[in-house]
Amino acid sequence: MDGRLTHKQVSLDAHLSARLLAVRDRIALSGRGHDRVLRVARTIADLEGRDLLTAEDLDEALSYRLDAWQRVGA
Amino acid sequence: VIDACDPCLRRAFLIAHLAPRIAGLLSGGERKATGLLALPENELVSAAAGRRVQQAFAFLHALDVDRERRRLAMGGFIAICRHGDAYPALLEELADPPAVLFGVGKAATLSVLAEEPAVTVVGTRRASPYGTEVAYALGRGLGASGVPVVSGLALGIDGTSHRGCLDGGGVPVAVVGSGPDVVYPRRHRRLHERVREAGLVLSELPPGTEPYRWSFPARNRIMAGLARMTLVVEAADPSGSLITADFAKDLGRCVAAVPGRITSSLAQGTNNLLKDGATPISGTADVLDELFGVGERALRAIESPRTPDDPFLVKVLLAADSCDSVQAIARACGVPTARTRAALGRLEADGYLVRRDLGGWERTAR
Repeated sequence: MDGRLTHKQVSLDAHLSARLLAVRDRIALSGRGHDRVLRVARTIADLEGRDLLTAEDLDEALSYRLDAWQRVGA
Repeated sequence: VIDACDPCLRRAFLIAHLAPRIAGLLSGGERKATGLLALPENELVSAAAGRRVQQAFAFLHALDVDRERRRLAMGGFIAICRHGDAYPALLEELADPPAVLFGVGKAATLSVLAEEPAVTVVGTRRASPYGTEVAYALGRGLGASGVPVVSGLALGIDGTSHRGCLDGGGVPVAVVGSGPDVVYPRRHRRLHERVREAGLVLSELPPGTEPYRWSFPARNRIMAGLARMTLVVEAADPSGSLITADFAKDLGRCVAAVPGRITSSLAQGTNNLLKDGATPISGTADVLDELFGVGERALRAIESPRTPDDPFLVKVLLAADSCDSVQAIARACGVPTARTRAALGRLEADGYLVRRDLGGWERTAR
C-alpha cells in the first residue's frame, strides 16, 4: 500500500489526525513512519472487526513503531 | 531589520554564489571550510572559483546590493553585518566571523543574546532514548531559567534540545547550514516554525540557499561563537558535534559534556571530551553554576513530573517503572496486552515514559 492508497483507505477523524500530528512533532516521526503507523492501526482495527479506527488502535500502533526503533537504535 | 553594509553583503552573496564550488574543494576529507572563508574577496574567488574566475567576478559586478537589500526587507528577513550594532560581539572573536548574519524570526532575540550568556547544545542525530531525555530536560531547564539555547536544528539531540527549550518557555536560536528560511531536514518543518516564533533561525548564507556538506561544519563555528558554553549531550567520535566543541575550545569558551555509558558508541565522543578536561554536566543546575558561579542563578522551578488524567494510564505508568516487558505490565495491571500496548504508546507519545536502552521503560524527569 503506497502513501496515496494509505490515505484513501485509512481515514482519521479530525481529532485523531491532530493527535497523530502532535505526536509526530514530539517523536520526530517521518512521513513514511506516519503512514506505517496508520497501516498498522488499520490492521489492528480490522483484526478487532471494527470499521472505525479508535485512539487506542493508534496508540497501540505507535507502541509497535517505537519497538522497531529500539531494535535499530543505539 | 536590515543593517548590513555593501561590502559585507557582497561577500555573503559571493559565498552563496561559490557554495557549490566550495563543496567540490572540500570533498577530500577536510571538514572545516574556515581557512577558505577567512580569505579576502579576491583570494577567495581565485581559490574557490577555479576556471570560473571570470564568471565569479561577473557575478559580483552584476550584483545589485540595493536591490538585494530591498528584497530582504520585503521578505521580512533579518540581515546584520559585522559593522552593525546588533551583530553579536562574541562572534568577532572567531578567526573568520560571518560577514552577514541572515535570520528569520524575532529580531529582539539579538538583544537577548547580547544580555544573557547562551549555551550551545549539540549532539548526535541518532540519539538514544537516554540522550533524547537528557537533551530535552537540559533544553527545558535552560529555557525556563532564561538562558538562550543555541543549536543546529538537526535531527536527534539538536532538535530535541530546542523542543525542550520551547516547552520551557525559553529563547531558541538555531544556526543552520542553509539559508535561514530553508528547512532542512524537512521533518523539522514544524520545529523550524516554532523556533521562528519564539526565537531566531540564523545563517551566514542568504535566504533561499540550499545546504551543502561543508556548510554544516562551517555553521558549527557560529554556534560555538555565539555561546559562552558548548555542551555536547551525546556524540560518537569523530562527529560534527566534536567539531563544534573544537571551535569552542579554540575560542577559549567552556566545553562541557554529559557523561554516557562507556559501552555505548554514542558516548565515546562525550566521554573523550570529559577525559580531555571538559566540564561534566549532570543537570541544568551544573550549567547554571558554570555560567553564573555556583548558586548565583537559581534553577527556575519546573513542575514536578506530570501525571496523566486517566487513572488507567497512571496505573500503567507506575507499573512500567518497575516492569521490563509489555506482558509483565499487562499482568501487573490485570488487562490484555493489546490494551497495555495502547496505554504505553500513549504514554510514550505524550512524553511520560522513555525506553531504556536495554529494554523496559523509565518515567521522564520532567
